[in-house]
Amino acid sequence: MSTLAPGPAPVDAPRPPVSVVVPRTLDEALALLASDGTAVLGGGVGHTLARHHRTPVPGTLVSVTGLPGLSSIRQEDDRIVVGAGTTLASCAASDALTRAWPVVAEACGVVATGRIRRLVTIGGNIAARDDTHDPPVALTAAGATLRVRGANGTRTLAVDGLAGPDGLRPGELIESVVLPPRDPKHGRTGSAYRKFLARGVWEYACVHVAATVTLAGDGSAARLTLAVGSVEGGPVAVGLSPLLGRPVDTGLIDEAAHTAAAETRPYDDVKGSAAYKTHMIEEFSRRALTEAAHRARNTEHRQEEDR
Amino acid sequence: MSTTEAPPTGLDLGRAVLPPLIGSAVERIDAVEKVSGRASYAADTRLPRMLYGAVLRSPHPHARVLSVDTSRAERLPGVHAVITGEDTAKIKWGAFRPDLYPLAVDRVRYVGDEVAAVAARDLETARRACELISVAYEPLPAVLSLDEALADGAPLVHEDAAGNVAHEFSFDRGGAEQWFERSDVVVEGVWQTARQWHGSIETIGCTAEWSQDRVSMWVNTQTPFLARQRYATALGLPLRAVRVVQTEIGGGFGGKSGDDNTSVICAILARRTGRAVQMVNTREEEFLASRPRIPMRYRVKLGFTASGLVTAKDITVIADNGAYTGKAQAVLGAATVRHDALFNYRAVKAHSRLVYTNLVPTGAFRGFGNPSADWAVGQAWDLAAEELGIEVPDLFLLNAVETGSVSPHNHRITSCELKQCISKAAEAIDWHGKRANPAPHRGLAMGVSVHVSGRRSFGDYDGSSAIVRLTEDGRASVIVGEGEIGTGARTTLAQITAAELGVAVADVSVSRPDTDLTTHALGALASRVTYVAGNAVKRAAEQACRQLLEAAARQLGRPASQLWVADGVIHGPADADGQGPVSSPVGTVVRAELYRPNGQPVVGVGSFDNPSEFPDQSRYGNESGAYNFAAEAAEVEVDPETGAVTVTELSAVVDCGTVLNPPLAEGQVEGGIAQGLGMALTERFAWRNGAPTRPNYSDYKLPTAGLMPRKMHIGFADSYEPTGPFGAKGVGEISLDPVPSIIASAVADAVGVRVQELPITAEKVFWGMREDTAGSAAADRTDTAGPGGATREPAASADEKEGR
Repeated sequence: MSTLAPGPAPVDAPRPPVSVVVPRTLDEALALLASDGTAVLGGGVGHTLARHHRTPVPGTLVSVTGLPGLSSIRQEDDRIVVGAGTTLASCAASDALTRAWPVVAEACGVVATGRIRRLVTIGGNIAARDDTHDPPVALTAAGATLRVRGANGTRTLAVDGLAGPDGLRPGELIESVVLPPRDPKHGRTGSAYRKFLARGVWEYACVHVAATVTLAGDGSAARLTLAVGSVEGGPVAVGLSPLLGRPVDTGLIDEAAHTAAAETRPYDDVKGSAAYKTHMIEEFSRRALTEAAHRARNTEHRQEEDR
Repeated sequence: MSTTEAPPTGLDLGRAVLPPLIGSAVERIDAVEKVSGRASYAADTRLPRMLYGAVLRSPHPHARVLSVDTSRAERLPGVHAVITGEDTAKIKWGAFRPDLYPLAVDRVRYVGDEVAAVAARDLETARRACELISVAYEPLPAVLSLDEALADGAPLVHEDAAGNVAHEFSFDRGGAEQWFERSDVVVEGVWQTARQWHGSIETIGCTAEWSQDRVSMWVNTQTPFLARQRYATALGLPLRAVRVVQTEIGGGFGGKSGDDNTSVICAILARRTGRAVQMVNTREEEFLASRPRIPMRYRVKLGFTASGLVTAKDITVIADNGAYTGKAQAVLGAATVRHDALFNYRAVKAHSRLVYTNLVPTGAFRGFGNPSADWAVGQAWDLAAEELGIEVPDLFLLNAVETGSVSPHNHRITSCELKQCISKAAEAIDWHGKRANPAPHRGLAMGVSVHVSGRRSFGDYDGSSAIVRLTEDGRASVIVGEGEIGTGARTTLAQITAAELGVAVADVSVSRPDTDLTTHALGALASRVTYVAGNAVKRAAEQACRQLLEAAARQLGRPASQLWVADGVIHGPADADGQGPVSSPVGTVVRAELYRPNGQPVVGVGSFDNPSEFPDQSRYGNESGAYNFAAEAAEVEVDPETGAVTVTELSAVVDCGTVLNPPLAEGQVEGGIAQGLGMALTERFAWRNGAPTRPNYSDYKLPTAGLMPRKMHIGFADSYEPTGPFGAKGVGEISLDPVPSIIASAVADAVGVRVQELPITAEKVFWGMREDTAGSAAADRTDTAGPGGATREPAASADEKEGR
């Protein structure tokens, strides 16, 4: 809406052109990012939108998608490591992710449209720190961590720990997303992502919820996670530990869904009022948990199929 | 409605045997250039030394403009001109009620109102220069809803419109009150529609260039001749000084009919710089300053006898004009009277007011008021069916008009297969089967609509004229000023010409409108081109064919009455002496006719004026020569936990007379349904201080394939319009009209919740199911919500933030 208000944009000279630098190694990229006025360029969607909205963008963009190892999904021991430059389309199509953490593959597969998913990288999507984004919600529920590289070494951050003084610092780069083993101590785990849309495609969700359920041998809840997006401070991980050890039935799921509605603060916008969204968070939490529990119960069956 | 001695229906008229080309799936004549990307749209125009224009718009819904300082913008390298209201003729213009300056003079009246404009060497520079213009505003109290505008002592949007009423009319035909007193069942309700944007793929654009004292404008307008007239007024020029040429158009839907300032400003910039200037709306500008559908609030009262015969109808309509009038005045007329041509009302009464607000001006949109009327009146009929205990299709059949009916407003129905549409639509969706086997949370509804084929509203003329020139190489060149907005109109006209002449469609070309070169035409509005221009073109082709056969008669030695044209060749029988049969290609005959001594070109001229009346101030008068009809039925499923609506099945049966080109007609019907579903379910903004908070597609959800009915049945009534070209009527708008109303009624049938205001969001249905109206009031604010709403302030640069 540049024509609506004069705005404070600098006016004396044409905006300096943006340079795109293509480093050959991650170290080279980090060296470039150590200087001021630089930013990471992944799929470029965020920068394109920023330019469209005439928000100031750094003069030098360091392209990282071609760096060796940054765009692969690989197994490291019992964990899955997703390179930050992997596109959402690749994440959605990954057999390894779909088997271990369907919640993540599903969330990556419902972002915007296919064309946008083929551009957007998972690292860029997380680094945007946008509560309306899908993948961070699923990764929060899955207990993923971020491997962050800077000129001085590697750190590990939580997906929802990017903000604040201990968060992502200037010059740092998300190198990869690390997903934990699905079935700790031989439990059975299922996960699911649910997103509420008005027309079904290419829109920000009214509410979106990710759930994981791990069943102990006796069918009780060994681990429960629930993450909610498009709420204040989202994604928000809902605290469900009081429910552990109980049988995973509709009563437990209703309580968990109720807790999710009580512990999150959605906001009014074109997609709905906060009051409505609170009801929808409860409903979609119920749907995500129900599906996750269903998948957990079928884990053994599916593992046999996998073999 | 008085049903006079019923004349024979179209079916009985012994309609002429139609040529095989009529009713066949002729490929679009512009298919290859569009699919291959060669079609030249507004922004594809390139002229030597062309500059680019940009506009600075008001950020206030209502303010006094104290001063405009353009000096910094003028100093920016690459800027060629900066203009304000002082650089214009300061003449107000508008289709019916001139109230719009090309650039603001002293006051701005909505967020998006044009204040200043720049022409520069490139778009980036022009936009940056706009940012350098300093405007001092004194904000004034604004009216940001119908209720605020109509409140006692409300601030006036225009000083000359007391009470903010821009236009008002009323009528009582047949004594409605007496009929209500004699009614056994009376239903009432209040329903409101919302602003809906056309959402064309291509935004509004213009390229202007002056030569001497004339300006040529290449514009993606639906109505080049009408636009020229208004542009000339706005520019303070005689009509002869303006030439408008139509470019390819990427979607019109009423939104490109020349009521906004973009082209006018472009022409002023071109004159000022002495260079060609191009201006194309951004998507944001399209949302802020085009002319979306008019929100209308209807209070409806319907009366019936116990047996289900309709007696009387009384409606009160208030329509949100926005800050300037455009075509809203005419739209309100149609929205008040058109639907009375559906049923045999004994009496109809109405009071309609067009109300100024400090919001985006509204105007023409596919349906032209009909979807709003059907949204309200259609739901009242649904309520009545429930109260009467009569199935909706049966109630419709009991009251529907027929061929020969005359509405209370003197709409004379020359062909009508409405009852056939109702029966076929019910059958297609298996109405009785579904009623017999109800499913939880599923609901069923039906609606009907009537539309015009051309509408007499721009002076006492709704005609068209055409020239068909046969060329020396055997082709037909159709010169007509109606144009093409993406519906396939030029293909249909080529098809009519080819059928009339006996040549191949591939040998027919149809001109683009150019006010210097083509015949005068009103253009693509009111579903008129097939019917009105089709008749004119058919008559021109008839005349050309007569000339051709007379020339061939001289050349081939057979009487013209014995000759016929097939596949581009003129044929004649053997003569009495056994000479013959004879034949000669069309091109050969045309060439020989021209090359003989005192020879003549073969050029046919045809004209057709809609056999209609210019309605009077109370909207009495037969607005069109032919009326098209439709019945649509929908089944929806409502998610009981969320309120979300899924359209599981929809049937639409349209009476558009003869279907000239089935795929094109089906495309119109399907497209109308899609646009109707967007209006019904998803298209809306959050508003703050008189403007959408995020005027782009991330908030405004156009329908996608995913919103379409899971099952869809499109059909056409067997019908023939005696005054139409080969029996055809218009088809461009009608399928949209009933959609919002049937979705609402089907939701009511499914879960007992009747939504009073568009769109039917899941949230409204949810609160309705919970009977928690307190929640919904705060939650789903209206389209014209004023300041202080609950909408969340979007974070800086948070627009379209998906997927970074």
